[in-house]
Amino acid sequence: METAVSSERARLIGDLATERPEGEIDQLVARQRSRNAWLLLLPALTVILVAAVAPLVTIAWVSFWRVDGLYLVRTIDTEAWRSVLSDPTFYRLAWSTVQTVIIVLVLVGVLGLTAGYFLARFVTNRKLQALLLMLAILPFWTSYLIRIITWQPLFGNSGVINFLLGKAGLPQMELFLFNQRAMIFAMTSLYVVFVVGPVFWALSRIDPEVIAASRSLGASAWTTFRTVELPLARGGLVVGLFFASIFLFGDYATGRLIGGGTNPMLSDAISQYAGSGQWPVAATLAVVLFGIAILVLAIFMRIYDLRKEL
Amino acid sequence: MGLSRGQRIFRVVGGAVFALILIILYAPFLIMGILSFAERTTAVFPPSDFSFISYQKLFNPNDFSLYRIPGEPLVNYLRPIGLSVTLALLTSVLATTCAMMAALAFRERFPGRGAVFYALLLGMVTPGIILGLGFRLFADQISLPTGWRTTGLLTHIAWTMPFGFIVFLVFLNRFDRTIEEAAAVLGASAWTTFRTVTLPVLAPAVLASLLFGFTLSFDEIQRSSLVLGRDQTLPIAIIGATTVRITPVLYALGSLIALVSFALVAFYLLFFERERRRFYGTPVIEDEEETDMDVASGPGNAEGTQA
Repeated sequence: METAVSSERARLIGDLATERPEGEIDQLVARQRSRNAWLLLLPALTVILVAAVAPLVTIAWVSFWRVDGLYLVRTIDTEAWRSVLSDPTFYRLAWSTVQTVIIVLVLVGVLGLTAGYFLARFVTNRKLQALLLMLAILPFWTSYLIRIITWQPLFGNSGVINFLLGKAGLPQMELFLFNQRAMIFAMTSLYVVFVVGPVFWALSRIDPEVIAASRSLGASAWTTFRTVELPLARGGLVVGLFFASIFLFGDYATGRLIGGGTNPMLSDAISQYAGSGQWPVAATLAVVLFGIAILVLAIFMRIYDLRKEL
Repeated sequence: MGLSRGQRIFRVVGGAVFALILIILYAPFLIMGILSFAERTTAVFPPSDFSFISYQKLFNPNDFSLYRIPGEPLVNYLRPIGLSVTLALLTSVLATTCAMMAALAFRERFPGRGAVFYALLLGMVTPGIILGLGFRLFADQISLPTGWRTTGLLTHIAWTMPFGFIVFLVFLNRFDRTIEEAAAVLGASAWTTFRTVTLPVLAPAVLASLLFGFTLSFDEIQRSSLVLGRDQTLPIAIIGATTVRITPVLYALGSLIALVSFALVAFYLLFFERERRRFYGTPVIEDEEETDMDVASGPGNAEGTQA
């Protein structure tokens, strides 16, 4: 960038006489570019300030308010925080949220990595590879709710799975609905699409020469995978898990529709407290959830700086 | 190259996992298609009676003579569909515009660049329910009425804009800026340069960003439930309907949406591929490898990553 003749500089050199010292033009260019940059950022920053920063600040603030009857009272009151922190249900809720997220991420990661690796290394026909890849990422673009609402006819007691099991002469399955297992399985099926694609792209970018070198030096396929391919594909895996967890933390609908509210996530609890007008408690839980989510995303960023993928 | 025993085992396991994922992903659509022709209930499979009545109910929500099942909920999905499409179109256009301008700004160095980068991603990384709750409370404080035109639209833009922003950054970091400079040196104004040089090269990114904006907004539920006021988008209507009772009408709706979205995305991917080929010459997978080489060695990227 330093060596390139920039458009602004070209124009300025034309406008100002060339006797101007080089340093002065550089300064002018830098100032103008900085000003242009802020002008270009204005719409995006305005939206983010109004629809993200202000809401987050409001939440932290409201968590110290009080509800009086139907009205919110602006005060500094630690009641919501005290009632949340002294309630054992809260710790169970926070733990079950973290536990669910971790289990789903592990499942999604293992399945996505296996499928992505299979696609990149064992499907050698380029056309078939492209088709399979498209099939694996296409559902990302379709409605998530639509995929969720077929769960009941699939796994209900008189649903498709039991119908097929019955046809095959196998014993019927116990109810795979309205419990945590079902919720985890449903979330895995929803969010695995995020991992397959990025892992595949990361793996297909690795120079085949590197793998050939590793193998010819005597490393087994497993050692090559562990010491060469996995570290190089780490970026893809982290990208996928990062986006999966963005959706996971706020997903209250899956828990409600499939988990049946038996083992709710923090997100579901927030939406229920908000629905019943207990805004300060909802805000307190939201602050906690925000902290957990940002912590997890920061861990991902530490494992692999996602800005390298830009 | 001969495969070792471990590799042969993996090929079987990996293939099975891949097949399993495809089944998990597509079985729901198949089941939904079948159940949309069921007349009465969707809880029992296979359905005992087949008819098109659910599709009729979907398109004629006010024709009460179609509703013959006792206790069947009456839901009009047509209005929510209209609102969702309007909101998604507006969101995708506005979010793409904001995202492109922001990404163009990020080609420059300016004070606070790193902080602004993370701030712009806030709308994406904050768990949805939190933003919904926060914006609802904030709107109450500044007496802004909640509804799709106000809080709804802003929430959807804040949610989808970061996705577009990332797409544009990825493209711009591989963009050879000297062609813009050539245009400027040859006398083109800044606007002409943008319109005739920058924008055509960015066309695939614009398309990708529009698609992100539309689909994410059309499907958005986490943030919307608290900020839409009395307005009902399709996801809100669907969630509302499921809490009452799931009827085959919902599956008729789902089947049609799935068909339309698959067609739309397939069309998009083909168009995208053509645009890419026009400007970059090589098919997607080869191109991916090539751009990676640029990433490894190109100075443009080093600048982009040290935001």
